[in-house]
Amino acid sequence: VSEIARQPAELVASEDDTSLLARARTGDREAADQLVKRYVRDVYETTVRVLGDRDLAQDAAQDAFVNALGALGRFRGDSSFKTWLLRIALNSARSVARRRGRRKEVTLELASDVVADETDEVHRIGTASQAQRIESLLPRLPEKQRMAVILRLQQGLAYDEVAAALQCSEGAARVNYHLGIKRLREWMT
Amino acid sequence: MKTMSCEYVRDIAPELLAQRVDAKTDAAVRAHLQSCADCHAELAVASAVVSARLAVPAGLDRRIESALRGRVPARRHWPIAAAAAVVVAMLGGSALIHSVLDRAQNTGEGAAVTEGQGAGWFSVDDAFMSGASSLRDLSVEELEKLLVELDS
Repeated sequence: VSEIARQPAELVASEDDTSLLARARTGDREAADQLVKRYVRDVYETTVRVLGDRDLAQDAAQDAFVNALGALGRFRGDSSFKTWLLRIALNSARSVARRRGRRKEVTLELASDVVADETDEVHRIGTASQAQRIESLLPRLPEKQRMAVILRLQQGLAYDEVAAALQCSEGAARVNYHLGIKRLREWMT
Repeated sequence: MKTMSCEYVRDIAPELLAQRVDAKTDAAVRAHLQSCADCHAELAVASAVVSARLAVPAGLDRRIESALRGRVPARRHWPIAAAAAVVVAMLGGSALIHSVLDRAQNTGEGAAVTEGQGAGWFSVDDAFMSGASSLRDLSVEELEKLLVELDS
């Protein structure tokens, strides 16, 4: 397990995104590296949830960072950098899937990849075994429902940000999220 | 007696689980959960999803950093036509994004949200939602029909 996986993204660096982006735009490699360290987990988790393949997900994550950091001039700040980056990650994952002709429902069993969550016991209502169970059920959800649930709950995006990342309306993002949660509840019982 | 609506509790579930709500809201949600088994069950599912984070493959960050410096040779060699198709798809996708965002209500530039923001996130007053009691009250079939309408 990578050390990165054990660290909340906020702890990787304290400099805010705006400052790092300004430096990265000038070609500052150290700033670009900090952005990679800060968001590599979010980007990888997004691509692997779409592709269901660890190797392809790493390729897509790499593509996402190369494309995003190579196009910082087009980032206008209309959304947060994270939302913009995750939208690019989703597109990269879908492109990889299309190129490989593997656009299909996720089938990879990722339960063994689940790592301990840092949330304290007071706020954790579900149990570790439930997390493992959820991991086995998530691949059964259609992609848009799965990604709406993941982006809202794991990435902490607001509905309008989920919509921006999924390239759908905010209403559709809400419906996909609720459908996903409803189905997971049904399957959990 | 419920002190908070189920709709609100479910909307702030991600922020509650990430401990990004103030103490007063946290206490109110706890009180609600003690008397609402349905919300408690939904938050249990949400909590399980939050807990199911995946490990990042070791060295992925360094691999990406190398790729950014052009030190990593391309792992895939695509025909030019395929590469061109990808570029066209990306350009088309970009146009689509702007088209969709332009049409979406309450998703304008002013709606950008930064991480860590709190109560301001939860707007349920978009045109789509007005008149609807709650999405949670709809069945799977009704939600699927709604999606078809939204996508059309």
